[in-house]
Amino acid sequence: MTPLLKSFSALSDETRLNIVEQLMDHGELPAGDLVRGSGISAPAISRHLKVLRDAGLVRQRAEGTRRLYSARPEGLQLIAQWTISRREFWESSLDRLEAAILEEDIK
Amino acid sequence: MTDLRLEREFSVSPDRLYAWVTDPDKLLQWWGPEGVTIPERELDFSRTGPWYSVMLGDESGQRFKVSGQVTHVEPQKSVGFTWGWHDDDDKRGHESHVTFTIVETATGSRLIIDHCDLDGSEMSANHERGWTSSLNKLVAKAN
Repeated sequence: MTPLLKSFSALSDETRLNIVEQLMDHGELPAGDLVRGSGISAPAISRHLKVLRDAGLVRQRAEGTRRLYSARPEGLQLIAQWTISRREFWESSLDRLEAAILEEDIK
Repeated sequence: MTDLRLEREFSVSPDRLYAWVTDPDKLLQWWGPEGVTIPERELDFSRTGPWYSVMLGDESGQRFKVSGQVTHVEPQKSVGFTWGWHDDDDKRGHESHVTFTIVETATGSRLIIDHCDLDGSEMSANHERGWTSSLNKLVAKAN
């Protein structure tokens, strides 16, 4: 699976999308804070965090016995790049078309 | 996924513009972003049938392949084709649909590019609409 597909498949779950959103809003959080208010068990949250880490969207840091989680901007950037790439493709192609037409007009 | 629409005005007649966006030699002069060469292609939008292009990043050396079928050709007016990126294993991904429309203007012509998604079923259409808002939110935050 390409990294992009991995990101999308990791985020195609409401719980995981919520986790990433929370981490982006609050910065670094312990798993306990993600469990609280989610209505989901700690082992389940931990499984979701593993999927997100494997997809490169979330990173983990140990502080004593605590595990702290944060969003990984590089992983999210990949998605941002993907969404703009189609527009960029056409925008820059159109620039070149304009230049090519102008050049031919001068001849 | 969002649909994309781009418009650009040109000072040439609709038939000239039509040639620029369908003729293989002319297409090759502007197809793809700056800094990319096209070592392999079958880029002919003047007829229905298959098309593809391989793009090579001059600096990155990265290879991108996109392919599809030209689905309709209406001389001087519009061309439609499907669009799918290939991954590193040459497996073709999600298919979308592109339409070039040419409109006459007072000063020449306008090219409208619509890049839309083709969805097999209403269910997948709903699924993707759901995706759009999620992704937009994510992207807004990630940037």
